[in-house]
Amino acid sequence: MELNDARYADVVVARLSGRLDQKTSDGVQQGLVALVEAETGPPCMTIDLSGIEYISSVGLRALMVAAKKCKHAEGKLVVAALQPVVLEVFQISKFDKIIPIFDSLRDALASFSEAAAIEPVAKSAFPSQSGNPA
Amino acid sequence: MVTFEDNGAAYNPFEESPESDVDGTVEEREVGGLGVFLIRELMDDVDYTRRDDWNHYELVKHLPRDGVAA
Repeated sequence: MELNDARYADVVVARLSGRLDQKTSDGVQQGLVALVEAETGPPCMTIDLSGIEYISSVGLRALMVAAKKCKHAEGKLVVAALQPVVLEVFQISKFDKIIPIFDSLRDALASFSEAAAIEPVAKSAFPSQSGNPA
Repeated sequence: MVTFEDNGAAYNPFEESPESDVDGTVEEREVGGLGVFLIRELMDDVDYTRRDDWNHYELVKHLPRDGVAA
């Protein structure tokens, strides 16, 4: 499991990859909460789930905690680029009703601000595979 | 079909676990409590039996001929 973060204008993007399950969700939850708490204003967060191939109920728990943190700080959390199996779990558990889903990272960024959406992805490139382990 | 068992205290998660509430806003919804709910929703059948001080669980999912879950 990896959690890398990058900033696009006013939006903090957390990119997860691997399996979000019993083994990894505690670390992911802590990482996401730390990112939310580091924001000085209302947090604008996008979680890029394109690299998540599996999510369990405890993985949903980690995302719920982050979403509640954002909401409590009058911010917003959205998710982007869900693989079909992850999307199915989101729909069954009605997470799609509480966390907005976007097809792509670009669409998610555009939901926050034009500035975030036009920022070149290369400029805010995520660290390579050697990023912080969650 | 997947079966598994344990010799812990008698517990039927399909009957005894609290109902999951998946409605409501992000503020209203509880954190967690979705494990049994997801199993129920994703499986075609679930079963629990208590035999000789062991819990037995049975999860059934029907697969199409190509082996990919519908």
